Amino acid sequence: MTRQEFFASLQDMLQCDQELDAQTVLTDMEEWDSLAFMVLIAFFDKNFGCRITFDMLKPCRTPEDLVALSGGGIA
Amino acid sequence: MFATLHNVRVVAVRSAVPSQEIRLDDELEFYGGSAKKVARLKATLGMDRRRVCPDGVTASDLCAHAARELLQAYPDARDTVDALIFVSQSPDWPLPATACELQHRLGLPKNCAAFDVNQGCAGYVYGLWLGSSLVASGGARRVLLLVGDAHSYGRDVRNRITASVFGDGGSATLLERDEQAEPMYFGLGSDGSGFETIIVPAGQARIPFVRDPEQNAALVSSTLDPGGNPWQMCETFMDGGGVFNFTMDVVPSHISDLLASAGKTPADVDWLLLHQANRQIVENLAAKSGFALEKAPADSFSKYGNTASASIPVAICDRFGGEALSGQVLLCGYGVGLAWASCLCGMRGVDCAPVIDFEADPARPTREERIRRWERIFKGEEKIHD
Repeated sequence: MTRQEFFASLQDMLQCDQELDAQTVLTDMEEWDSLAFMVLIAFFDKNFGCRITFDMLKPCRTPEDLVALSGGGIA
Repeated sequence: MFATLHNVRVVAVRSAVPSQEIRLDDELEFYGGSAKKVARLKATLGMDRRRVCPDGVTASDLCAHAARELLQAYPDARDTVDALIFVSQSPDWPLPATACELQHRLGLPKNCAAFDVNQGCAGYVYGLWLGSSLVASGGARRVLLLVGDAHSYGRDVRNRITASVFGDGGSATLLERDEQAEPMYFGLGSDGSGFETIIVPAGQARIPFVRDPEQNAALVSSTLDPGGNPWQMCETFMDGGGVFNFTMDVVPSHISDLLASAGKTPADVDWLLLHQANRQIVENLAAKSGFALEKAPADSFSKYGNTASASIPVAICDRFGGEALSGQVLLCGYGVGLAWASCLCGMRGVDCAPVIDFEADPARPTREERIRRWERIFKGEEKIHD
């Protein structure tokens, strides 16, 4: 999956109007909440076979931080 | 553990929910008026409606109502119910076992064993395993399994982690011996290291109510979490993230292990009936376990909420009510404990009625009336039931 594809999927998952790029500050967005974490965990598991946790997501600030969690699944 | 039981048939299932419905759309005030947040909860978790008991109505009332409906359809069963099992974490009293009073309320024979089992989200399948074990071993000719929870009494509706998710429900299932029945494959597990993931911290022996009312104040006062949700020690605490992690880490491999123990694959299974924690979790588990989503109904969560121990029978009656449940069926409950349990069985025509709406008796005693009655009993002015 490319970064652009992931950022588009992330926007869908967050159900936000704002277009996302690598440096969008997620922690400023009201949609960045436990609901988003749950969906992201399932997404990473399904698409990258990669088990991430709430604790791993909490320090993330930007989509680029999430890319780093994908275990190479996002190119 | 995994075990196979023989010669047991699930005859019929009935489920009852209180008629009082709460809609998420009517609770915008708890989300700062944000229709968008409510829309996300609906789209992501499937939250929409839930049923809650009016004051003075308990899980045992819902289960008794389901049981009466069931026994009406099987009048010959009444005198051969050798065991009544009530699985719940919202019993009517700390003691006696609510099952004992249910024996009386339902007019079951006095030579019927009656006992409670403290299990929640995995409780239906735990009860099925226990009841089926009794029937398979010859320990009971018929078992009436009553499973339900109604925790909404006393719950603070402003708590959006628990109050918005859980609904009240009860069920009755009849089990009997049948030499022709297909084997029931069971798998059960527990991991007490996660006992605080879902817990009512106080009100029983570990942090009890004491005689000095001032010392009890902390048990009934609220503390806000960073998200503004109020928590009380005598109400259910839930670490939502911890629950989610548990479902992802434990349940799919457990389902795979059960299938392997039965020599089957997901393709052999017609229905995967999962505890209705929320739609997101149900769909995750189905997908991660290799099942098509069409085989794993999640609608009943949106209609009734997460009814804890009752959620599997409520889902069964919601999906198959009015027809029969047949085919290879895999039931799986998971949650508080932490505990999990699953059952794979070839079902042949399990009689399921649609989910029953329970209308509370308007003449039922109020909380205040019950308290006054006990004061009169203490004073010797009134007799107990004997």
